[in-house]
Order: sequence, then C-alpha cells, then structure tokens
Amino acid sequence: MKILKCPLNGPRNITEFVWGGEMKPMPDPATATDAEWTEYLFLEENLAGEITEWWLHAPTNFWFVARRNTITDEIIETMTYDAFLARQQAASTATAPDEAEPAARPVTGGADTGATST
Amino acid sequence: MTTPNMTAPDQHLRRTPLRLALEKADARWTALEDIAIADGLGTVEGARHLAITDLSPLPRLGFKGRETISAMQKRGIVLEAIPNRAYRQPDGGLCLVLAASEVILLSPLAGDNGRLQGLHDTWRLDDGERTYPLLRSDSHAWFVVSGAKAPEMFAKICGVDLRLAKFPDLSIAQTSVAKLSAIVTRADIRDTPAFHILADSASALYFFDCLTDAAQEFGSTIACRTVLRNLESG
Repeated sequence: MKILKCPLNGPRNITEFVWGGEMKPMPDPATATDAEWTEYLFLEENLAGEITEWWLHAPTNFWFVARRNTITDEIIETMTYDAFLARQQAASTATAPDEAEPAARPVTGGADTGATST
Repeated sequence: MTTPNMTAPDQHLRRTPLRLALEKADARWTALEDIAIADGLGTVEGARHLAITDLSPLPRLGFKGRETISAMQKRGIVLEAIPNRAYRQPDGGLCLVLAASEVILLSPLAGDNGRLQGLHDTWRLDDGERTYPLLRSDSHAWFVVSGAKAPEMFAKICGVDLRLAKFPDLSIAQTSVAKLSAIVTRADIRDTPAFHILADSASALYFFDCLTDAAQEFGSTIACRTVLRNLESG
C-alpha cells in the first residue's frame, strides 16, 4: 500500500486520497476566451518530471498541495494551501516582479505547516 | 420486563439509523426526548472486553468556519486550536477539534439537557461570526467501540495504528474504516479504552455489520448507553 502524507492528518493509505489535477493559475472567467477556459478546465500539461498538484483527503474533505515526480511517481512533499501561498509570496518578493515564478511552481523545499481553514 | 419509560422507536419523530439491527438484537427502548435509545443490551464486563454501542440518539453538533475556535471559547467550550485532538468538557461531553476551522461537540452519556440544541438555536447569521453550525445528528451515526480488544479489532478494518500506546487518549483519526470515511476518537471511559466513531448515517447499518463481523472473533457483544454509564460511574 502506498502512503501519502496529508498535512492535516499525517500518513494515510493512498486509497483515502483523490487526485485533484495539476495546479495552474485560473484565467479570469469574465475575460477568458472559450479556448483558454476549456484549456484550464480540461487540458493538463502532462509534464514528465516534478509537478505540483491538488490532492484531496476524502475522509476530511481537506484539499492540499503535493509535489510529485511523474517519472518515478514519488511524492516529493505535501503542504497546506496556506503554506503553498506563503512560499509563493516569499518567492515573489525575493524575485523581481517580472521574473516571479508562476503559481504552479514553488521553488524551494519546505516543511509542513498546521491545518488551514476550509 | 417493563419499565415505566419503555417505548418503541416508531413512537418518536426521530429514529436511530441502527433501529433494525438493534431490534434484531432484542433491545429494549427508552425515551430520550424525541427519540428512543436502545437499552438492556450487554454488560459492563463485556464493555471492558469488546463491545459496540450505538449512541446515535444522543445530541451532537458541529461548527465550521475560520473563527470557530474563538467562537467556541466564547461559548464556554473547552478547546484549543490543535487539529485531531479531543477535549473533555466539564459536563462530561467531548469537543472534537477536527481542524483549526472545524469542531464537533458530543453530548455527555447522560444527555445534555438541550445545551447543544441551544448553541444551534442561538447562532445568528447577522452576528457576523465566521462560524456556522452543522447538523451532525443528521449526517453522522455515533458508535462507541469499547474494551481492551478494540485496537486488535480495528487492525482488521482500519489502516491507522490505533494501538493504545500509539493512539493515546483524546487522539482523533479522520480516516477510512471498513472503506467508509469515519472520525475515530479515543476517549477512555475511566480505565476502559473507548473509541467513538462518527460515520455516515445513511451507511450506518452496513458499518455496524462490518464492526460486529470484525469483532465477533474476539467474543464481542452489543452494549447500550446504560452499560457505558455504569462503566463511567465505576
């Protein structure tokens, strides 16, 4: 049985989790073209390598962020969305605004934080 | 045997989702406000060994929202913002902190004299508190698995290590038990290990079947609230 570490509940059997898709910035629904919105909803980048994804711990309905290597299928780390956002902010203040990392690419490793609100 | 307050489940507005299983086990029924609760099942010795008890008729209430912890403290609930941790209340009830933004309150075994209903009724949207009540009596059945053999039984149906040394008193695991999402809380009754389980009420009969089937090989029994109260009073 594969084990995934939920930031709220700790290590659990993989069967307790549901994959939520790649993390990607949401286009503005008011201004996005049909093609952009369709791509956001239905198309995945399917990158071979390290990606950032949404995962759900089903018994708690708790959504969190995981970085996974799609070649080795190894979970590199998991974190709450609050922790993910904090990391994004730290990365963007450390980088010039026009060189900031995109939302789906956290740049450094990090520890888990406590639970976040839903 | 008859007692003055004996009743039948169908004489009340609400029923435990385990009515059919408990009737099959020859339960007697006692009135508890608008619901009947099973009685006359099990023994204290059985509950110390391994027993399954339905507490679904007892009150329980959830609150959720970013300011839930402070809102509960304001209402006199004993708790801290530590997820997956339970807190005993002065009246004998339990507060389960599921996340920094969510709690479930469980009535004492003796009943709560309408306290939880009062918390529900006095909540007002207009107060602007960032917390809101959730009717957990409707969504979740409430079981207690008590006794020294409980961790061994759980090892058959739950992936989380619930051995007493690994899962101390007042720990909570929100996990899957018998393939069903469940909130497992250890809250010992005196020196008897007791695991409170909240699980989907619509699947309660299936879940009860799974529990009784898993527990059978350890010589389990079905118990009732009176037995747990006797255990509590020593």
